Amino acid sequence: MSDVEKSFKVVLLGEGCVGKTSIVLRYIQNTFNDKHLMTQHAGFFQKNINIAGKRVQLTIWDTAGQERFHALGPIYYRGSQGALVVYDITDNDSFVKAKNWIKELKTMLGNDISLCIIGNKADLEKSRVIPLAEAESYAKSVGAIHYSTSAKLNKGVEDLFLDLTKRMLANMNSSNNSTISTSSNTSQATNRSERIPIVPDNAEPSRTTCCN
Amino acid sequence: MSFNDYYFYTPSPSSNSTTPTTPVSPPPPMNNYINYSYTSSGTSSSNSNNNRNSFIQSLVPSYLDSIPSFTNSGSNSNTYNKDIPKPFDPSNFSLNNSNNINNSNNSNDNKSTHLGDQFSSLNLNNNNNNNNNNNNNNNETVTTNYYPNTITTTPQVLNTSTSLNQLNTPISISSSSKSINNNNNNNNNNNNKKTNPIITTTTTDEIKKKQYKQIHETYQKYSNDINFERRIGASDYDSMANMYKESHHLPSSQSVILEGFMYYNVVVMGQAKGDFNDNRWFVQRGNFLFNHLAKDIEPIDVIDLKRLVLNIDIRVVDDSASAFRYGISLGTPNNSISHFFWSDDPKQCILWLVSIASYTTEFDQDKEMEMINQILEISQPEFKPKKVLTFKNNNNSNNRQPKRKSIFETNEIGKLENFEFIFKNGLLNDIFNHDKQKQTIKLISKNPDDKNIVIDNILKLLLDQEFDLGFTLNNQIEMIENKISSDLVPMEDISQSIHNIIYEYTQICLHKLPELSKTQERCDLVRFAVENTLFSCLYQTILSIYTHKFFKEDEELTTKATQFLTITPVHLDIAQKFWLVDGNENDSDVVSDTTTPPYQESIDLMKKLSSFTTPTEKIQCLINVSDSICKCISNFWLNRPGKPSNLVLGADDLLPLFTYVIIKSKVNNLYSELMFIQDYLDQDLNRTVQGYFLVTFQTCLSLINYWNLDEILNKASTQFENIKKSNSQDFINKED
Repeated sequence: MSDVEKSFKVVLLGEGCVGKTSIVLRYIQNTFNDKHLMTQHAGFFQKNINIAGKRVQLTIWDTAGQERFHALGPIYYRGSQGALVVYDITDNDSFVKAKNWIKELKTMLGNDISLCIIGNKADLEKSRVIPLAEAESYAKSVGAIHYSTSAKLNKGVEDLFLDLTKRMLANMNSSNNSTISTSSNTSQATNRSERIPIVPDNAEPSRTTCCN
Repeated sequence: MSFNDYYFYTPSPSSNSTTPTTPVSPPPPMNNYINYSYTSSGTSSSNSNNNRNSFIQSLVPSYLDSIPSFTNSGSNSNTYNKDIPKPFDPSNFSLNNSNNINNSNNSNDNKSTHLGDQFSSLNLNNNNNNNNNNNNNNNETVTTNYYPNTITTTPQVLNTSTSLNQLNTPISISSSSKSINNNNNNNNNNNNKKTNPIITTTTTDEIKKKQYKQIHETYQKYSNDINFERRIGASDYDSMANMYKESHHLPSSQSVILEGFMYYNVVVMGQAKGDFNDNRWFVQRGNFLFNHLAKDIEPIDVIDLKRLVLNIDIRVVDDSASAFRYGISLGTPNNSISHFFWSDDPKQCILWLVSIASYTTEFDQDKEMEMINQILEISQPEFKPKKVLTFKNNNNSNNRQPKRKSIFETNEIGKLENFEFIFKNGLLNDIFNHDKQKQTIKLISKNPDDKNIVIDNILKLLLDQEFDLGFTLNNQIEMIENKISSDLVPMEDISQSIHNIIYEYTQICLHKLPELSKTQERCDLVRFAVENTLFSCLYQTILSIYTHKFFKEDEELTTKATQFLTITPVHLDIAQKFWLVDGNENDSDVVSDTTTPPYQESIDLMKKLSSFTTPTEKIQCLINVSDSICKCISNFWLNRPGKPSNLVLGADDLLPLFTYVIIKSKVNNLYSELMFIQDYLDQDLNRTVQGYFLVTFQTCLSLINYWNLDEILNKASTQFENIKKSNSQDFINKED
């Protein structure tokens, strides 16, 4: 089970009713037969995927979108490597909220996090109130990538997660190669998580590095 | 964390062979992390002194006969008392035949002034005033230190004056006896003249100086070929005392003071690095200790002694418990980093100790002396580990200033029996070598997937005080309890220690139970078993601290939650499909229609939260509650008409429901429970489902504080009106 090389935490943000849970569910359920699918719990999703020859585990944290939960966002998204900020293309409010989330994430987590802005309900194209170009240019301006999805029609969902995973892998490598400080969040969490797999032989590598 | 910076050299070679999963050979069996640690605090060491006295005394009689020449070889020595201690291992010293117990006549007058003065015991003068031909037996000095009582009967106290004089004469080594010739001839005269005045003015300080002097002379004895005084750079004892302070400023202090090979390990934040046999070349220059991988290559590390606290650290190396590694540890005051240096040779260890000690923080000469005495004692061939002082954990925690005193007090003679038992039974060879333990291990290994068997038996293994493993763990638990009740140690430190203990004992268990390290699930089970063991002892204590500390928060939450006791899912501002009420459109009183509230199963599960004593179980309880909420939803709709197409519960609806369940469950001390889980849950689970539900729980508690009853009721009635107006089916489908 523990053959996963890398584990990413992805946080799911967006106003209620934009269908953020449905997106993840579509992603998970469509690959239901995948034997690596983990047990599901409400609000928490986990999936192992193979990408570029690596086994990657995605843990997806759903959050409550209502305004009253907004202040509690940080305890959900801290330590995450990816964020899916979802809005409803037929709802201007939800796009405003999405922008707020992006701003907050960038302030709190800097460049360590791969940001995705997702316009959901693409099936309701005729009711669209957020022009695609506007959303895409906004995404570009904040260093995020915009995706259009329809959880209902299963459109763009798979690509979204695949792309995000690739970006998180790339982000991880680049931050590892550059300065240690920028990746401090990530590496701390990783170190800790590598500490416990308690099989005795795991302890050996770290020992030898000691006094250098 | 202070007491966790120890190693467990647990692996036994026999079990390695059965552990195919261990590719690297584990550290050699430096078994048993037993430690002869320095146990007395500063000068207030009367307890341990007494302890030591009894130990030595028990040894003395056997030597008495073997030293026929002990008494009165000097013509002038008088009133020699038979009770005067003998070197406890004469064979170690070439000076056995030299009788150094020489008493000056003058001394008799003064001895009464020193009666009962403990320090006077340290004043035994090893100058043989009258025995010009005899070398001093410095060893005598050491022995006498253990015998405060005997001093009062010995007039030698008076010879302190000679010692002072003697300091001006360089000490030379007698090649034949390898002992120090203290130029007694010269001193003799002085002594007789000066004794009285000096003695009457002797202050404690002087007495101490004397004492150090003699100790150092003792080193000289041990360090046969090394001219100790020259190395230290002091020929005068007064200047030697000053040197401790001044040497930091002397330019020459940057020259090499001492160099040599030592075994070296370092423990950083409770994690041991380095192998048992790591050998390094160390060079001490002033307060810097340079770490070289080998003798003639550049240093790879430098340790600044000024910031470190010194302790001794002696370990049992081989199975017979007769070979030791003598070592010193240098730890940061908060113990985040500890360096360990060992040598097989006690002389080397003492040399390093003396050389380094004065540069370290919290240094005092009494402590140094005592540590040296311990090394000397243990290094005697006759030494039986009767007086094993403490386990390592205690040693480390005595670095913690605030608790120092009480910790010593807890490690008194009562523990000695235990240790003897352990040695007698050879249990040090292998922590699980006893038949009883083997049986337990066998049982576990046969049932690696039986949760209860594994948990119960690991608990049995770990807590059985009959064996050193259980003894150690119990000690550690006791220490943690002390710390908690002392209120001096921050809670984070305590939780960190507990995390470390769990980690270490889990590793021990996994190593001894290779069958259980085969799958992640089994590893987790072992970890849980260890956690369970620990919290079975500590939970009540810890929780009571939390409920005390968070009394206000708990009260606040309870008060707030009580306000909402009457609400139902209808009020939660969630999708109607999760209300789980059979309200048809005609029924205006949806709320009071049910006798048992919705989600009763979840509420019942939540009520169990307080009954669990480990963070893992508590968090699992929360996960179960969440799963049960989903189950309640699907059960409710199972046979009902109008089942919505999508019953997946997202965070938007889960959080209010979860909050509702918490409120209805009327769990007490919610905030304390939260903090307990948060502090003691395995940090590696932060990113897993456990972490998610911890955060959920946290959010729900905030929500309880945030909620306003009127607002909720108003909102609910508005929503209810809206729904009544619109077609409910449309509402449900709106989301997807």
